[in-house]
Amino acid sequence: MKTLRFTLNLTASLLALAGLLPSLPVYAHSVTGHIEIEAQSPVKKIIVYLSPEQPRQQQSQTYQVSQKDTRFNPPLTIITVGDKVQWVNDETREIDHNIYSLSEISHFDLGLGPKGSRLEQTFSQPGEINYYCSAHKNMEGKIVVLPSRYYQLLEQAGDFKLDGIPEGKWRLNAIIFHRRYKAEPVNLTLGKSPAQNLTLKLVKR
Amino acid sequence: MKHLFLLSALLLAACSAQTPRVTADKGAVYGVLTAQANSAFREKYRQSDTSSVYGTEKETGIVYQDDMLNYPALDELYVGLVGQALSSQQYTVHVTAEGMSPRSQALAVGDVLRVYNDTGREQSFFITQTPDNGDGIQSFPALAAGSSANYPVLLAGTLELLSENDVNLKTSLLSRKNMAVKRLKNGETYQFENLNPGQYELIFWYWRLGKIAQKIEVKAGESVRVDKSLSVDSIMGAH
Repeated sequence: MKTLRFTLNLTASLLALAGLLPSLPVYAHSVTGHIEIEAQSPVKKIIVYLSPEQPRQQQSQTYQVSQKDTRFNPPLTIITVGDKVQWVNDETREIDHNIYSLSEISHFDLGLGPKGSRLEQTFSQPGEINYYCSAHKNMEGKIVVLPSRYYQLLEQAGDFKLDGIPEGKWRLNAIIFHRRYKAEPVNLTLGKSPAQNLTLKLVKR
Repeated sequence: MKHLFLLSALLLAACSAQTPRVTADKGAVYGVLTAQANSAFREKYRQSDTSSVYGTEKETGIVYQDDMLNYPALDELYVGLVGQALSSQQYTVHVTAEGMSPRSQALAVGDVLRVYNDTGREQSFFITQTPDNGDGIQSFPALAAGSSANYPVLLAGTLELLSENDVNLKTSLLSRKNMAVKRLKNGETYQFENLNPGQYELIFWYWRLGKIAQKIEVKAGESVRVDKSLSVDSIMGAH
């Protein structure tokens, strides 16, 4: 009985508090919308993402890439600034691989990784990085380094939904691998008004 | 043994570089360009058996496994000499549904690409700077199947010739102002002759490995020899 009374009191207190402070901050927001692009567009694979106005601390993560059968798998790795990529040599044969990139934002040569090895690289700048194995011709991969974890990979233009976003000022943007197109970024302030049914336009460069 | 094959091929190429003739008031630059896997991999290859996951040693040389990058057979290495004004050059690009040929082309700003569309469908081609080089773009009118057109290249830097209609069609371009270009097979000799004395820049490039630039001074009546090996190691060292 005491427990029930305490629960009722607590609920009432919370309701009262909510009534007194109707604009208490909500810490996780959703951003929804759709990609607008001309009809018959051949654009595939679009990364919709949010970029914070002020850099935010994020716990770094490690993403693995397989090298089995002389292929980088997945061929596309999407990470956030400060994250690490670990290339795992999981070949069934005794075969070495080399991993290097000459991208301006991150050039590296991780040397040779024999079967069973794990070679790592941390990425500190946002952008696109192409990497290769200097020995095997089909081994090409791409890393996209985003400014935040709030993104969605779309196979084609359509609806998107980004969840769990802290309030603050953000810029909605997209990376398009079809180089003829670019996104027209949208500035958002999350916290008071909802950011629903937005339109992110992709236009020809 | 493999080491000997590679070494002898490189030495043969290096020895075959003939000194260009120069006049009293002009100079020249020449040398040998090679491309190879990074040094750690070459060492690993030398230590492997005559037949391995990397290739098989034959009397005629090394036969690489199909999935290997066959460095000795590379024939799209480029040397550019920057610093002399030239008349516009034209280069040909053949496009089929399988891809573009050549896979790469070095050229000067103002040079022309003659593009043949043999894909069996209309294509709208464009040239753009690579993402880490800029966002410049040149677009061209749609090109009907079976026809060809001239595309002057006005952008500088690391570029790509692409199609709006098929993202798999691609040729990498390296463009600089006032750049004379030689396309070479791996281990071939290049020569730039009849040069006015002065400062020049040489650019050595293979699309998958990147480029190395080197400044040189050409003197009247002299030939400058510059050999270069493109590998992951040498290009990282030049960055």
